[in-house]
Amino acid sequence: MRRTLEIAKITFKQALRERSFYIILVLLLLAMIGMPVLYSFTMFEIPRILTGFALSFANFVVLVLMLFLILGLIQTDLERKTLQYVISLPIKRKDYVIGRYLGFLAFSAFLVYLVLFLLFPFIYYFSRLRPDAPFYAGYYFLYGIFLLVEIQILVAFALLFISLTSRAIVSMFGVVGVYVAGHTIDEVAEFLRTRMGMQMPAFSKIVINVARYLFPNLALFDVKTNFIYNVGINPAFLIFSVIYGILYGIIVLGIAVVLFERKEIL
Amino acid sequence: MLGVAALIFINFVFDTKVKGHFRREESESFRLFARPGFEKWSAFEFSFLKAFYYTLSLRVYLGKLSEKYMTPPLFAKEAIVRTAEVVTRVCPYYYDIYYIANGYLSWDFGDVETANRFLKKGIDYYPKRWIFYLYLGFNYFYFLKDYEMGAQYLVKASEISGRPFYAHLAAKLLYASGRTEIAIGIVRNMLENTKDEGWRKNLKIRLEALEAIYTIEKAVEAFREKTGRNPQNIEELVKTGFLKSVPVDPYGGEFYLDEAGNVKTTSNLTFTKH
Amino acid sequence: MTIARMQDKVLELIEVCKTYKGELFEKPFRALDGITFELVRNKSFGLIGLNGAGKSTTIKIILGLIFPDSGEVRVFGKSPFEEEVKRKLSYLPENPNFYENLKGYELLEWVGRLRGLMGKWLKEETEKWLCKVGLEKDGGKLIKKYSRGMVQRLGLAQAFIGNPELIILDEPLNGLDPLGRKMARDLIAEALDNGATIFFTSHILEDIEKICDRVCIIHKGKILKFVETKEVENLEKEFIKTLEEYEKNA
Repeated sequence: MRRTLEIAKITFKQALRERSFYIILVLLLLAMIGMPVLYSFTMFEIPRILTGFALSFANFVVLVLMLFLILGLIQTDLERKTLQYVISLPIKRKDYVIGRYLGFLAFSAFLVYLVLFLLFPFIYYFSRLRPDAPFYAGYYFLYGIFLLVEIQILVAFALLFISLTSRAIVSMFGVVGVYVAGHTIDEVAEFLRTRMGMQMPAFSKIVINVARYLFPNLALFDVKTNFIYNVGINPAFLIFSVIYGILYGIIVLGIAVVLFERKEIL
Repeated sequence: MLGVAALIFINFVFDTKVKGHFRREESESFRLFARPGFEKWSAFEFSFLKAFYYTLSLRVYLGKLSEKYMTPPLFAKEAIVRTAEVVTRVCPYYYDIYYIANGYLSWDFGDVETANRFLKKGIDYYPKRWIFYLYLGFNYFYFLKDYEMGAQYLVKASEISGRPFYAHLAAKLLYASGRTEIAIGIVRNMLENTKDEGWRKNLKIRLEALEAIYTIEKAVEAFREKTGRNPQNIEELVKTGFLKSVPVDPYGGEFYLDEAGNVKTTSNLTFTKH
Repeated sequence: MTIARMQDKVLELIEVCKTYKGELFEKPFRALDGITFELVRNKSFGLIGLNGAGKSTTIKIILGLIFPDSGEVRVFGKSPFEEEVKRKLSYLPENPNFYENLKGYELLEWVGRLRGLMGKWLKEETEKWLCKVGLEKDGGKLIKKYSRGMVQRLGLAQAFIGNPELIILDEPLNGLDPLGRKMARDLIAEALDNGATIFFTSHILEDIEKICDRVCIIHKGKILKFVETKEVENLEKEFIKTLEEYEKNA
């Protein structure tokens, strides 16, 4: 446990020092400046536009940064062979996988809520100036949880790919691929359902519905629109999504741990 | 290595677009970066941002056009309709596009059917927005002269917004002529809410015309009450002192009275012929 | 107890074989073919051979990075995967790459902590080893800014901190200037004095001669010969001779 935390801590420290993080901070500053600008040329539903912007910004920024970090890690560990060195240290192989996971998770949480907290005063202030639509502060901060659940699935997959292959580029494509697939699964399922509609045998429908949850259905965590407009919010379903996401991440991580134990670190 | 991965990633997000050109001259073209049917797929999680961005680019485009043309030219209509289709598919809760689509389509292009189609789609997704019902009610009343449908929608607007005003307005409109009044109200409201300079210019002209019509209508009413008949023409109103002078149509046409005594104008409240 | 400890086998490889499966169109490559040797406590052991002879593979097997196809590997009498085994050893890779975003002393502290050092003792040891490798002024800099020589020095520091019992060094004198090499040799000698066991590979046979008690010549995955450095005049000549003999008879 102690060693897992050591890995986690060092992961956090590394992430904090990445140049991309500073670029994100600059972007964050621009976003804060952008809020009043946004306020002046938005027509309607100011609180919603500002919230939408803030949440989308958080989403984009954290996603991009985590992808950079993960891909960077894959590159260092696999291509520049730091992994060989790290595994020779007194840690269990599974400490590495779990430690990395926890480290990234902690860093993402830090980043997500940093963004949300820094943008909050702006949204609050301008929403008060023109409250032509409600601002749901509770939902605003709750969104962070969903974003984190999505990120941790991607992190788990990244570690899975590191355990599977020695080629950095495969891992990179893998992670990006999971993201793309995760967001289009729902659309594909909808598309197939409406296109083929009644013509499909019941079996296929079952298969599609199973596939929706077998593959990481990342679209489940895109609750931004729901939270901004207060539509389609089903608490049971939201809780289900979070649990699904966390379990999914843990299972993928578990597989990564098992594979990593047997992996030859060339 | 990292750069390649990033580029591929970005490509996935912004790629797969087909440019739609709606133009007369190159400078008047509007690029809509969306492949119809795929706009949601390629948005991944960023449907709200996409909706925001498209609406914004449409506003900028219309703003540019308003510097050159007094009223939005016909080729702009397709840009508006296409953008509205895409945006309402990507993020059907996004309000601004409905406002823009309805505003231009009903007033400037006379296509109330399409305007209503979008409003109704908006209601499908977001039934809490009473303003959709208000606009629908107005459209039916003012443009389509379908007073029953108009009243229905206005009553609904009252229900949802909790403001009985609209239901009262419906009652009044059903049994009396108040078309121009409500139109003035709507246009004034739009003027309050619209920030785009080009559009405001447009709205001010419209308001001027409507107020002129309203003045004439009031004079006609007064004349009817006094004399028991409709005035022959506007000049008669001026001669008999019910009107100070013949109001000028800011659209360049001439106001006249039809057989039923309704106020019309040769310009039809627009600068271009459809 | 003392006698038993002195005979205590720190490292044991018995008939270890390893074949790398070829990728796609490559033929499988037989990296190790029946490697057998043992390393007794507090001795220094050198592994020499041409490039591709199997030195890195041997080291990776000892560290538990890869698994032998057949044969046995025992480190401190146990399997190399066990955490307690790794706690007693340290490793300096060839051309080391450390996480660049860390500062020199942060890496050292991290390694120290993993080896069981804590608190004030950890800080003292970190300071001490930074000084010993000549990085006392550079500990606070990011490893990104280190020169090749500085990285190598840091690598040595992390290999010695915490006084591991078995120290595995892969080309440790690479990238060091003559003073640096002397420092490295001194550190290795000091470690030996303190009871550590050294496992060492290098192309610079002069260094091997100076440091190692016993040398193993490996070629094409096979052990050709064991040489006691005391008994040989010029290790390089011995090495070349052994290789040539093998090639003649092959």
